[in-house]
Amino acid sequence: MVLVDDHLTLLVVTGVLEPGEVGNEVATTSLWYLRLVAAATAPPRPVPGQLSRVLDELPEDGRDAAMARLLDPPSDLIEVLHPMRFAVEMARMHRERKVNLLGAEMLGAAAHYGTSILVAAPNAGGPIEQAAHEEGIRYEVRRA
Amino acid sequence: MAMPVDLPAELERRVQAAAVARGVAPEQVVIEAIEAQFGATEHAREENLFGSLSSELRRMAFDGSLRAEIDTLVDDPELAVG
Repeated sequence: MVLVDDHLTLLVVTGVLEPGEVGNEVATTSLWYLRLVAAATAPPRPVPGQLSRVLDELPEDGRDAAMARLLDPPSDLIEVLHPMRFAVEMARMHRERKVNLLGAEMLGAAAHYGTSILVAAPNAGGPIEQAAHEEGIRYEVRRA
Repeated sequence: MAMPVDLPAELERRVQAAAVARGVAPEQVVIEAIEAQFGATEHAREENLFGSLSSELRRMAFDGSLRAEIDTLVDDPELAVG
């Protein structure tokens, strides 16, 4: 299994990246998924966001299909992990590594499943990467 | 059983031959062929749907613009990347 961020989740769910290009089993955590859904379902703004604009360029039935795929990702593409399964590890990460809930959930999942973390370049670095190194969790960055 | 529609003679011969070879009714061969055609069409339509988005989505994901957009919409320190 490999744990991915919101950006790579989007690319896998939309078929831009094949799951096999990312890892054997691709999964994400609920809070990375929440970030993605928040962007995809944001109310209209005076200046549309890029994701909204791309989706708006689709014909209506295509937009509906794209949103359905985002809001109910096929399990053969990616699994959104339930935090109950690794709540103990998540709590420990939050307490000991001083990371926020987003980081604690990802690090807790990685520790629980003994898996690696893969993020897109814009999300690389910061407290999650530092804590991953301290925990001995493999942390990789995809740049294209 | 009669075929649900009249088929051209050559096509009907091929359907009958396929049905005999597989030990199924000719109607089964026709139904499976139609289902495969509909399935392939739907699959191609879905691939085309996301194919048209691919380059734009890939660019957004790696040039930092998607990150900036999500950060703007999710203004919560517990959900911040760092």
